[in-house]
Amino acid sequence: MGRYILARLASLLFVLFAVSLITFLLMHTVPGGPFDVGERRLPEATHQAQLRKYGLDKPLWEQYVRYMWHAVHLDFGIPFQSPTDSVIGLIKRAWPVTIKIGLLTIGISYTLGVLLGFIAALRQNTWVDYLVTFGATLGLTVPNFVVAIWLVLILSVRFQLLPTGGWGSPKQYIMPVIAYSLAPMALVARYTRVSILEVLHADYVRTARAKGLSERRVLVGHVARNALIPLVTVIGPQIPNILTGSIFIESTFRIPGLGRFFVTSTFTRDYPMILALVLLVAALWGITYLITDILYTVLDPRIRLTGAAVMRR
Amino acid sequence: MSEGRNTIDRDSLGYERIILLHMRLRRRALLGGSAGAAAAALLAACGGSTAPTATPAPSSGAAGAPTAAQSAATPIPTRAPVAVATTVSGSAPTGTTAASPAATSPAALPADAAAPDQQVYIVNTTNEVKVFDFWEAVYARPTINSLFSEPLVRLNNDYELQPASAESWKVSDDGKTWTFKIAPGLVWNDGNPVTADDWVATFQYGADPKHAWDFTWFFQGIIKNWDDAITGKVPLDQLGVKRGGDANTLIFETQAPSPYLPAMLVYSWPLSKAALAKSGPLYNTKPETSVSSGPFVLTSWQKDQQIVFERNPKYKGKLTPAFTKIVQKIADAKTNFTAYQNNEIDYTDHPAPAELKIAQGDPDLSKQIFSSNGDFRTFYLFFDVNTPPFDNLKVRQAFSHIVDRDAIQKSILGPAGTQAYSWLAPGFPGSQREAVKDIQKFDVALAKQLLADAGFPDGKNFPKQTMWLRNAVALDQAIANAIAASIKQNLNIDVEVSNKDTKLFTDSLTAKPTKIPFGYVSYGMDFLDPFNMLSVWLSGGRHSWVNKDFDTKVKTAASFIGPTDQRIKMFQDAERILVSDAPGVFIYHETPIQLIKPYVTGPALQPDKSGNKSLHWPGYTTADSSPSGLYITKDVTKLRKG
Amino acid sequence: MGTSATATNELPLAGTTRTRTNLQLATQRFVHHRLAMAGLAITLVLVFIALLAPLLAPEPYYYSDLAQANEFPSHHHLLGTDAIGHDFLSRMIYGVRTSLLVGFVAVLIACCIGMPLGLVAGLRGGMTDFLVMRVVDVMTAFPGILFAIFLISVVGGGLFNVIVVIGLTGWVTICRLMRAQLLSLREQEYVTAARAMGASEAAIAVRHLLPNALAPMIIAIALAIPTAIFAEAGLSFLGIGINEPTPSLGKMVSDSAPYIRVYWHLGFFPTLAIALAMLGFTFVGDGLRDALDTRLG
Repeated sequence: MGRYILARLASLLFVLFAVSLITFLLMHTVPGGPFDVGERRLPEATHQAQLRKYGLDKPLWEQYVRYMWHAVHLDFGIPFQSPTDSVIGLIKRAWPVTIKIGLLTIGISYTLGVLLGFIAALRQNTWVDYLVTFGATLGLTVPNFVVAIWLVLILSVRFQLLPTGGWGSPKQYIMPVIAYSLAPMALVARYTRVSILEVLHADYVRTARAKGLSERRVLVGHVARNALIPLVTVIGPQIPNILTGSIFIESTFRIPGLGRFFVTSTFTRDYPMILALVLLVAALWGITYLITDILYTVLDPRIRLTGAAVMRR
Repeated sequence: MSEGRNTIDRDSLGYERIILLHMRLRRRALLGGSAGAAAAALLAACGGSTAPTATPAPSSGAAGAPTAAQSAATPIPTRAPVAVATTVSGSAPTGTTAASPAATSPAALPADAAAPDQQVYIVNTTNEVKVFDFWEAVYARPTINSLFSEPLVRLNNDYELQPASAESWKVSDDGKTWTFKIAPGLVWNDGNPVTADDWVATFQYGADPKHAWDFTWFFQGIIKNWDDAITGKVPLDQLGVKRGGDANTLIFETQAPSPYLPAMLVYSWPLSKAALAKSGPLYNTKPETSVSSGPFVLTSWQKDQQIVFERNPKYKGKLTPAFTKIVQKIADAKTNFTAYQNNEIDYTDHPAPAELKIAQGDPDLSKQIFSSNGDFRTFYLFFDVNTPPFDNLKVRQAFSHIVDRDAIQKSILGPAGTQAYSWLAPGFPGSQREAVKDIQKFDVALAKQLLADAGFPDGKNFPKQTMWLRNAVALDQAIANAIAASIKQNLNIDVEVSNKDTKLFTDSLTAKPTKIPFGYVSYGMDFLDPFNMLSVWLSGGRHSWVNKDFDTKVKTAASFIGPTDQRIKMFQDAERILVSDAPGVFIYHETPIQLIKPYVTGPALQPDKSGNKSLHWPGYTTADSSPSGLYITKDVTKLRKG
Repeated sequence: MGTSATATNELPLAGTTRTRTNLQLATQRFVHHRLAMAGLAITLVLVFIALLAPLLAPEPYYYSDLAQANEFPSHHHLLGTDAIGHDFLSRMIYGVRTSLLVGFVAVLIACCIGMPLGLVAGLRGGMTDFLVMRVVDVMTAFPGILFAIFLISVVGGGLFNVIVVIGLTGWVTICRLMRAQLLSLREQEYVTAARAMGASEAAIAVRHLLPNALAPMIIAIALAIPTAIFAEAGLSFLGIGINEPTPSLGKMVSDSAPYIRVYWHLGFFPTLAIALAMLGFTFVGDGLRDALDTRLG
């Protein structure tokens, strides 16, 4: 186990390096620099001066090495889009907001999703099952923006119950969390249903039933526990996604979170911020996968983690 | 398990991450976006420190307003704004010395005004907010900005130049030296007086190559030694912006006679020399270090949430603001309309097509619609005239005759714009819309004939085209799509429409040679002189079109010191060349829609000379008189939340 | 050579018969799966619409008449018109065509990259596996949205590039799945048996591992298609999707945002069509899963 974790961490370091290098090269290939935004052509002298001011006149390799050297010392520079912040400061300010919404979303959508999926599986091929399946598909299909627009129209404009957006009071969490929860809830419900069905038909459940165990003990002791394993595979990777936020939810509800920076940074060619975000996401992924793998061993003692990072089932 | 992973891919590419398009909006106006967030009061025109009571206050700014559609169709004023005339004559407008102590006390409020603690103006700012100062980053400031100092001059509701920080100015006989007298008694709220040295330091900061300002082009070719200062060839103290005989005399030296210089100097908010030295150029981004000589001070900036300004108790200028507080919520433009409907904000502009429809259909909201001049923005198609097939004049002309502007105006724009047949919008100095109306008129038969003459009968062998858009909003996407459809249906030429992000578009457009053969974009004026708009088309400017005749005419007119009529005539001749040679096809002049709550009113919303009732460019800033031109009425309590 | 030849001669026979019976059984199960058949019907209807679009559409998709802009559904225009007077039914029909094209081709590209890589990693193991998996790790950790924006900014938008970009971001899933299948199949009894009987690794791969790994791949593909359709919608939202005048369902949904508060039909019908496509492919995928996986019997 220890060796496995070490191997995974080493692999994570490699991933971070590769991801940063690819990002760096790609973002410098994209036309348009951080500063040419004006309606008019900038004087060439000013353009050059801007490049100098931000160190972009140096050779690419030097810029990369310099950035990574500082990054190792946890200095990610100043974001071009917010010169009054540091990258670290900006992330420190915006990410907790996103995490708050994200955790609420995960809590609500996973609980409800598992519950619905469980019910659907136990009532396989009845109207309950069809309803959940159909609802889940709809949840994945109807765009978030439609949900969000109608939430605002109904709850804010029509019934004047909630502010259209903003951040601060718990009232302002309600709509974003609902809008954000639908898709993961639908996903979790679908997968819970499938994996419970799979387990329900497994030999050991039949055996347990044949042994005369009460239905309840069968469901809780065998079905639920085993059904969790594939579920972990599905919902685990959703977590870094949800925790890094969504530009749509944040911009619709005026939430000062991190999600929008993924897109604004790209469109403003905010190089230091892009690199920091990519590294953050990559690290988050790595850690999530590691935790997911460890969870497997807890849930299913048959699974062993080996140094070669190969997981057997 | 595959679906789970797939769904993540869908999420990360998904609907949510997206709306940004609408978010990092069009760079609508120079002055921090919403061209419409514009107001100019009549008060400054009155020249004194009279309180708004002097003007009969309407019970509601919206009541009895012509419908937006009507005002869009308002006849073009026959008299162009006189910014040019005022300055060319060289005579100093008779500004009163405004340092009267009365100005420091809060304005006496009209009878229907709400109590001072309710004089809070709340708007959304949809820009990317990096800084507050023009001299730091022109394109990254909140919608309401530049309240921390006053420019030398400002505009009134008829776009006429008025004295602001300067009480008078005069020009030398050769037209190259301008002397501004700064009103005595103006102070920064740290106690320092406002002097010519502040302007000198400010302009030097703007030209400093180490700063690399995003707006250096603006004074390029105009202020003496500016061009060499920004390259570092000449030290900053050689710049043609200098202190005169005393601390209240400021001298501008220009490279050539520049009768439009005062018009440009609406952008002359000084930074505090002392604060620059003490806290650095970002001093205005923190309430602790911010220093103001303007009507407001920075109270708080919660990043990504809101910015609050409060009245500056030490303000000594001419404005008499009624608002005690201005709150700007940082928001995505697409959330503006619902927030407005929900009474969370007092003003919004540029509603999406369906939102305008909703407003027009609502008995209350329909009275709150205003159609403004914005920044006299013109939307147009452009070609790279150096590469086939658009090097052929007949091809360009063919394209210019297939745009059904009337149908576009009626079906897509409505009150948000009016047909453009040329470059200068109605109401802008020099506009000759009617005179050149036929040059690019809608005429399908003629277009087909021209295309055939150019060697492409019925579009045969015409290469497939891609029309580039610059981060266009829904309205402009619809217009571009309609034009592309018209080209396909009438000329049988395939045109793809591709909406690009701003950086990609700008980088490709300004590349030499340009990488955009065919596109659709807009330009809105920076200052009210035909030179500003027409200079976009000068050789080496925004587009690849080169026309010596046009260049000569525009440049000669620009520095012409003589009768205004003659100068305007020269600009109009140049514009005629532009329209005839068709490097661009002019589609529409924007008249941005504003929605203003009935409890926000004041002289700024009185009709101007052309009868237009709206907040005027450049917006609620000290570059115009609107900070004195609006107040909140008692009706606010019926509507506003919280 | 002799002995192994006998062994391999016998095994494929056994394999084929088993596959055949399995296939028959699976088909039977699939046909009796009500939702799967409904999904298949939906999918076939969509494919039919896509193929016959020029015959079905009342107007060419690019035909616009500004005089008829923003009309609600009526007998003139069954699904109404959009902001510039396109007949919305015609746009929908061609939109289905584009979206299915995006779905199929992008998944094809993803398979062309993901399957061989997964195969090599799963079969060869060791260093090859290690290298492939590190590439997969990197791709997984890279935010897809950034990748897409970067790529499209460099190569330009348009239908073809959009499809390629979606394919390039989608292969990781296929690759992972392929490899995981192979790894688990390698441990199965009949493979161990074949190995014990002296079959070569290559023979085992071709005759045993591949056919059995394909079943889950088919399911994955059925489910990846609507995902690709969604990805296109996402790119359209960012303004880096398919160019006008080519319609696609995803683009129609995203373009409707500024309009739907009044012109509901612009958002409703394309969303419905995507939901149907998603339901169709998902039900088929679920049906295949149930049919091919004996444990669910």
